[in-house]
Amino acid sequence: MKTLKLFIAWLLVGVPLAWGVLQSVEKSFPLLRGAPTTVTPLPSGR
Amino acid sequence: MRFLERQATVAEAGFNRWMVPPAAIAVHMCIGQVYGFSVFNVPLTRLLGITRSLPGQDWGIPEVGWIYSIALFMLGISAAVFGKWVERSGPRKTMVASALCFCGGLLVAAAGVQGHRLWLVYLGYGVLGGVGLGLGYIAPVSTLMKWFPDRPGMATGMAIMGFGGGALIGAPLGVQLMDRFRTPTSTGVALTFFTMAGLYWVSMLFGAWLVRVPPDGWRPAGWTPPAPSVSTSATGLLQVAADDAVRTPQFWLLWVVLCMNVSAGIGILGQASMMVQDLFGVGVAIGGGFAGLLSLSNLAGRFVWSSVSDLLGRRTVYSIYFLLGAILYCLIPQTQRIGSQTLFVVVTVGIISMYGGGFATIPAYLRDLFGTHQVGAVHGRLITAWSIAALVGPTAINYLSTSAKARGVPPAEAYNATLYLMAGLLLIGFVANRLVRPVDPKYRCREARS
Repeated sequence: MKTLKLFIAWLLVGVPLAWGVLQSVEKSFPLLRGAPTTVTPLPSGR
Repeated sequence: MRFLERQATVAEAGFNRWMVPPAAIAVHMCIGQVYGFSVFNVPLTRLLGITRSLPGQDWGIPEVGWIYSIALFMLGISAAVFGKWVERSGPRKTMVASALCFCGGLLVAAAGVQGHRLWLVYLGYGVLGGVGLGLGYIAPVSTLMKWFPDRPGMATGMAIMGFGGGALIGAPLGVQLMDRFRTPTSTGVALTFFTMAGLYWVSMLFGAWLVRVPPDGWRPAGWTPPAPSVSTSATGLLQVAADDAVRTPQFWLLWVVLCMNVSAGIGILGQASMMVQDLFGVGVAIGGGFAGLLSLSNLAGRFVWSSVSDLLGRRTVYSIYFLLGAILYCLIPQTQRIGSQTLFVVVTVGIISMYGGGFATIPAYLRDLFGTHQVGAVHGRLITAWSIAALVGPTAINYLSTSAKARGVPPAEAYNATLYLMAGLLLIGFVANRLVRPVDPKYRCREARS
């Protein structure tokens, strides 16, 4: 019973946190997939 | 209301201490919504115009920006003022007070939005909500450290990770609720505030119901405190009252440490999206993705680095944050010069993970120096460094990058001065951290219970 209570307590905070993390991961997808750079790199030594 | 008193929260025999972190997270992931408040900025400037801001009638971005600033300022002030009350009252009463203030503040702000009265939004979300933030932030910290004397860094890291998670939840939740409540005559902000108040109320009361304090003299099974030593107070044997702690140089050195850590982190966090667009010429979607990735890194850093501090020691781990952080800041302009977007992402993710780690490790550092007797109150007073940095930092950073662009510096190079300034701030933090020594035993508190 104690283990079940512990599981439920963690589940109740874990689900919203996981949802928030997923939202952020989804938002990061364009960056993680990579994007072409349009700015020309400056010459080294500047 | 005996249920709220400290005595009513003393754990019964056999209580599992792992029930306490979810209680802390339940509160922190609600009040962490403040970091996602920016999603309301634009809708708040269109309350009358709905699809566009009506000049002279709708509120402007600078006026709306004050809501967040007042809330963060009040967070620091209330944590400092009510810190000792929090220690006396125990975590449950404080969490309920925090829920009343934070959720009540959202309701008052909803009324302010509905009636288009900005002062009411300042009073609601800014002042009342800010007090809720301060109380909720420090409430579970000392309780967690008493339950986890063997791993205080990891324990507080979990709670403060919840605060970081609050932004990840609050921002998309706010956007989705506004989408749901938007009508041709309303932006949906007032109803969103109202709904969030209800949701957060339930979560925060769940945390208050769940939280327990350990009985006097409790210690984890199989764990024995390190041997007493005069030369170090890392054992927590030296218990210092909050009023005495602020008289020690150690407190003010840690104040500088936190202030520099926050100021430098904000240097990237506040401008993440714009910076990656200017440096690499990528689009808005990529900029948003970068900001999202930094939020995740901030979240993970809070747990990982604070747990590492239990192994390496607080002073060592802060030295790593500051020294490695300064080096990484100086590397950012180089990543642009060689055109490596990947390296830029790796470097900034590293910086922000250590920024989060710096936040999460500070309560355990305070516990090492001042003991657990009034660590919540001491922490509350130290949080004023966060308020100051959150107010001053972004202003200085915006000024530097804007003035560079105004002088005709190319956008890709406009951030260089800011980045080197951030590295300098981290070096100041490094020096302050290296100057920290164990607290003089003359500050020992004779009334300490544990």
